[in-house]
Amino acid sequence: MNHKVQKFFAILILTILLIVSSSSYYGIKGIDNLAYVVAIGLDVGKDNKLKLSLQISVHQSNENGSSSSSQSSSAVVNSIECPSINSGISLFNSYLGKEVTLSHCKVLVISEELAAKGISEYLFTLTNDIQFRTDSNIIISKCDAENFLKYSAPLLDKVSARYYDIAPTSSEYTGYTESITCNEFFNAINDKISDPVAILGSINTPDTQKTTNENSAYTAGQTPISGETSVETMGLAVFNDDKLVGELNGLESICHLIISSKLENAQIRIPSPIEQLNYIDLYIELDNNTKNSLYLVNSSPYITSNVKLTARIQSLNGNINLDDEKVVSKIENYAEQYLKYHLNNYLYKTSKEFNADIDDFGLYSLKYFNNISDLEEYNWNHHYKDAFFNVNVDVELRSSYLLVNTSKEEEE
Amino acid sequence: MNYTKLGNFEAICLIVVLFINHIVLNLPQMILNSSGSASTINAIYILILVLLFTILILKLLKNFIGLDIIDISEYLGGKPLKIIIGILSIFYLIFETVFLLRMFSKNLLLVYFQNYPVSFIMFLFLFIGVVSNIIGKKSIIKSNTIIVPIALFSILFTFIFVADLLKIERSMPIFYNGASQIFLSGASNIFAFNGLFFLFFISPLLNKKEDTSKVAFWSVLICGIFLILSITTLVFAFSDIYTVSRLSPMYFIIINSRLSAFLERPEVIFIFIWTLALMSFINIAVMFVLNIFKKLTNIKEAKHLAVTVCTIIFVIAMLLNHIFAFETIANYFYKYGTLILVFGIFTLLLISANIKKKFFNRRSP
Repeated sequence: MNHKVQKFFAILILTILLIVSSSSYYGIKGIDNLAYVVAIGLDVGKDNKLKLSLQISVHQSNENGSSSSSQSSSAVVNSIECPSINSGISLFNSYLGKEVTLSHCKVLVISEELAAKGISEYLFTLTNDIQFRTDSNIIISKCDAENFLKYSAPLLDKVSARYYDIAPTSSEYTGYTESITCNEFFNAINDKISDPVAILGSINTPDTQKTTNENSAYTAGQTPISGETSVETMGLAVFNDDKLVGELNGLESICHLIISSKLENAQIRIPSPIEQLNYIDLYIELDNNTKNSLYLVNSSPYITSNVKLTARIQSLNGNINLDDEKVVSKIENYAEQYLKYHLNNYLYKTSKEFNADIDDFGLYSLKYFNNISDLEEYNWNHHYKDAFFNVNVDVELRSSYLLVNTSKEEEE
Repeated sequence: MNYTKLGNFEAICLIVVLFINHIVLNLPQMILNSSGSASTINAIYILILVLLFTILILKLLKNFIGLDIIDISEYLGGKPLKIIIGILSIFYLIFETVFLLRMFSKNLLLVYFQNYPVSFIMFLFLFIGVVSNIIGKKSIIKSNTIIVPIALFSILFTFIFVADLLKIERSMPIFYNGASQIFLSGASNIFAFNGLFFLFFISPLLNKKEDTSKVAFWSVLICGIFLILSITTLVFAFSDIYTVSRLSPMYFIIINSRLSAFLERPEVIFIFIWTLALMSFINIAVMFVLNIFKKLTNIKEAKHLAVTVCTIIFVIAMLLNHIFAFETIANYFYKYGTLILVFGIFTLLLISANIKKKFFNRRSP
């Protein structure tokens, strides 16, 4: 090709690129044309099938004209009765005079009442939506989703969007819930051999609170905290297929995380084997992934879980010598028995009460089937309620923190 | 043929680019739909079959070093056969481009450009096809050599970020729909290696013609490894992958990977790379169409016909508006078109040419 023609083409392309890049497309949608949703709430509607609530970020540019970002904005919650999510969003578009966009949505909140009826339709619809991020968290609210969103103004964060980002990560150091994304939930609904769980949330008011001796035996809204009314996430909502069948409290959530090898850190309180303390607080973490195995005994699943944990002792008193092997071994044995008891209770609860395999035990049954028709014929979901469990727990007490030996007698 | 000569690496990239475009679109899903949890076994099985097929083809090509399938068909059946094979090859390349272009543009439209007409996006791709073919083959081959490794690396990168989701138990039931489904009807999944189409045209282009076997084996191995990796990742990481079909499994992997913990929209980077890969394939496909046409008609210069070829591609791509029907036809063409032309007609032609050479005409063509 001759050089003049090449030059002509190069200049032509560069000129076109310059013109296009320096001009704005008439149909372009900017921050002023869009309403950014940070949370979606779904309730059972009064007349219609569904009540859709949207928590929409209000940008400061709309309030005082200054430049804005989602980091410096408050939010409003609006609700609408509608037959489906998409028709509700269309009505919102018309009402707000802006196009609602779900691309910044951080959380999907569904009321318990709606969840009990089945939510696969909504999950499929949202997963099919190109704007909706499937890594948004899913929360099952014990109160109305609308109220949950209204009270979701966080205590320590000014921005709801940031709160929704950070709040689920508390499970990493408490273990009282699990950060479940819509995608994980969606996958579990479609999976033939496992059932989904979701984060359990509620508004914490004096009426909903309760007190127990067991430190973490609360579900969302029950924690006895005084202060402003606010939302709280604690425990897990258990589903059978797409229907809510029950809930797990904080301690049971820890058990779920231990069995499914997802526990990062958690604090448990065990009865003390030594007389200087009534209870001992232990900070536990998984030493190895929990080894689950499954045998089919007369078609009933026999499931063995070998749990290996390390623990650090948190609560201390005078006259305790953690250098003494007997004391350490006593504490370890108590911790093992305590956890074994609660793990067994938890497993039988999911099996007998909920008939929901939320720990993916079904995966270990697959090896017994050569093809998919054998598996379908067996019907794992039908047999999980017949499962019986054997849990082995091994706790290794590594150390306490800064104090090791408070025994004055030995020092003397 | 008056082609720019290719080094081995450039030739490998040329064969692999077609595979990359299919793997980004829906190739893994097609195999997963038929083989389910046994897809990894099926992918290993078809890799072995294709390696055996490649050995056969290389053995058959040994008697025709420096010739492509058009030359061989002329040797076997004279000008009529040459024209038939030439036209079939042009048809295959044009339709392959049409389907890839329309499907990718549709996906791009859904994800980012919902308010734009699909014709606008397709026009941009084809415009680049025209310009690059007018500028020259060297630039097409060189740019492809840069784009293919980047695209392969991007695919590899996506697998790394879902590594924590992998569970080997998901490979069960080992035979999913039964052993016959994997080893008998599953053998037809060799269509996944349709990049081998270029193997029948590449011999005269190589700097060292004796390196055809190296190029063929490396290409098949790269495609095979990436096919096995992509399928294994999908099967082992996502329990519902063969119960719910997605727009693009690779896109699905990215939006569900741990990458989104670091980046707000990681898929943008990957879609950009894959867009470049499609552009590169369109350039190559148009280049091959022009060269086959040139060979059939004996015209001196064919590069200005790039406009005509791209217009034909554009018009065919716009013909069918019903996207579900389009996808079905595209999948049928991809599977059966490849099996019939690449693994059927071209192979039979090579066998016949070898028989002719051995028994009827010992003269070199």
